Amino acid sequence: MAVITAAAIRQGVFARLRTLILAHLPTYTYNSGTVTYSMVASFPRDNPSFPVVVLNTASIKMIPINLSGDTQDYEVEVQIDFYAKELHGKLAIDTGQDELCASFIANRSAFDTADGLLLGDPFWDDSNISEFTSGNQVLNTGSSMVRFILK
Amino acid sequence: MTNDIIMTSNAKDVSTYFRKLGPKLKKAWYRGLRNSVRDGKSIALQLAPQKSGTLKAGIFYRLFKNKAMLVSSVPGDFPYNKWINMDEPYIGLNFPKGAWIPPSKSYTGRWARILPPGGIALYGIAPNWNWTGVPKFMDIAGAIMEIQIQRNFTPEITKAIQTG
Repeated sequence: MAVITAAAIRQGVFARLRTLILAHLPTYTYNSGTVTYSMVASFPRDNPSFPVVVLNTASIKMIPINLSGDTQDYEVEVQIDFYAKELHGKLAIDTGQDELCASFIANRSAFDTADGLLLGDPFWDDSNISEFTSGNQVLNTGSSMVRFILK
Repeated sequence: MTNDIIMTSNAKDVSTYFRKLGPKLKKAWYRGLRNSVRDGKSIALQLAPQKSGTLKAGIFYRLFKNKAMLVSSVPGDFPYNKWINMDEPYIGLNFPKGAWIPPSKSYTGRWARILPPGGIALYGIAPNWNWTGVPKFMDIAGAIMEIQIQRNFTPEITKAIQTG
């Protein structure tokens, strides 16, 4: 995979994280069976099936690092949302966040050398877990914010 | 008799104070954020239409260390547009002494304060509309959250500085 450039940073980051998540979809055990997350780009409103990971588009913050502004730092922030049936418990969300976080950390050197992305500070930031109802399904949801800096 | 003014300080205490202040301010910020988004959820729940309960049930929040989001989520076939984009006039009612709800309507079974003294409640006004909630309830909840930010953050930040 090519190094991500500032000109196509949103597309590059999305494609890279999509590939990574699809290769490491989190799983958890419920009623002695293994349940695997699927990945989508937005919350499925029609006939959804859960659990899902929603990979949102990257939010970019461009910071000039010299007075003339011709050199910049690009801070990348990507929100990843986890949705699972409330019946499966908050463990489903915790497991999803744990497994993806471990996969991201395990790929830190690939982010650096292959993609030109350095881990940001804080690199991984979890939200609370909330409960809500969508149609006739009661769901748990949690999010993780992942941050990078483009080299 | 001397006119000298002598000030003494313990440099070690001062540096300890400033070392502790950073994390304390971060925690104060987080508590202010948490209070604001919880207030926002509560306001959105009060304003959201209650006929089917779908919109009320879809309100939740995401709270990170340095940002918070109030979310309204509904299934795909829900007539969301009606409640989100309706642009009806509103009237603000002043409650100089605050407002309370009686035990019969309160979750706790006791008198509960729903507005502080000087609070304002917004009501939609339009003829021929079957009101079970307030259109643009998320916009209104967001606007009220902004107004309440000072009330939520100031005591937390002040406490952090005073006890730093």
